Amino acid sequence: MVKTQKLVYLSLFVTVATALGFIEMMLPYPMPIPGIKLGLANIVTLLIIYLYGLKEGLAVSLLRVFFVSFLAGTFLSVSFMLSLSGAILSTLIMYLFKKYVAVFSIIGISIIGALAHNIGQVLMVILLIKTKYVIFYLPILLITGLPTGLITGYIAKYLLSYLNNTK
Amino acid sequence: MTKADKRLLIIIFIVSFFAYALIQLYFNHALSEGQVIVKSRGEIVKYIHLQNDENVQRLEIEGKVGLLIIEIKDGMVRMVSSNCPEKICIKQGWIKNPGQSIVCVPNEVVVYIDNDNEELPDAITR
Repeated sequence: MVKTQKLVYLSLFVTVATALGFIEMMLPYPMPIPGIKLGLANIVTLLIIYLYGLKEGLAVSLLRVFFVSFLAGTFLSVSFMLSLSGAILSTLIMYLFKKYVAVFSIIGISIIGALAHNIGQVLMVILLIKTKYVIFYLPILLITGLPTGLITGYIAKYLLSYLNNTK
Repeated sequence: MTKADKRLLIIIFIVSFFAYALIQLYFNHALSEGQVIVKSRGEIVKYIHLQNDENVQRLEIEGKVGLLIIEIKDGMVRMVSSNCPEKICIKQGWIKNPGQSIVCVPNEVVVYIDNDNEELPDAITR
């Protein structure tokens, strides 16, 4: 692919991811479980990993975390740190599983990404407030990560079939 | 969805479910010995024996951003007031079982119920 074309595509993906991330901040959640999220922006990260690779995936998800925090005014706040740790860990883990464990489809990879995001956030909370107690909260987060990972995985699968056609 | 995807789903579900059940079981073992422990910025600032007391008890805790108010009633604990932006700690409502916790991340305050009181100091002086 031509260099400029790739640049344009990636910029567009950053925009889409930022919009999705911002929309997600405004969504109300019915259950009083702190930390659960639909992970809409993860759809974009997943697509980039499948269409391009790790370097581009990391770049897009990091830029998205920064832009969303600028828009929401949470730059360098705790929720920013949580998003950052979750985004980095999930991008890395999704890429590694996609590349080295061939048995999973894009849906499996999406679920793995959701779980990695949760684990990254819990690790960050433990680091930030120095309490190991939060780790007991992880099973609940992981269970809620399964349906959200499934949903984003199916959306990504659907989008990917279109994007592969246009390429 | 491949076979491996389904297996992954089922395995994670079972593991998380059992981990959750084990945590509940472990902490419910000695329910009557519940202690409310309040940590602010990594240090224990208050701990109180959790009893089935109808009287409302209110604690004021100094967090990183400001003052938090914790309410204890009928053997349950909740966050009543906090000046953090998202108020997730307040929305979480009551907790009553050992192993449960309320975390206010912006204030770096953790309220949790424990049944293991070995590492607690005898008194806190300030």
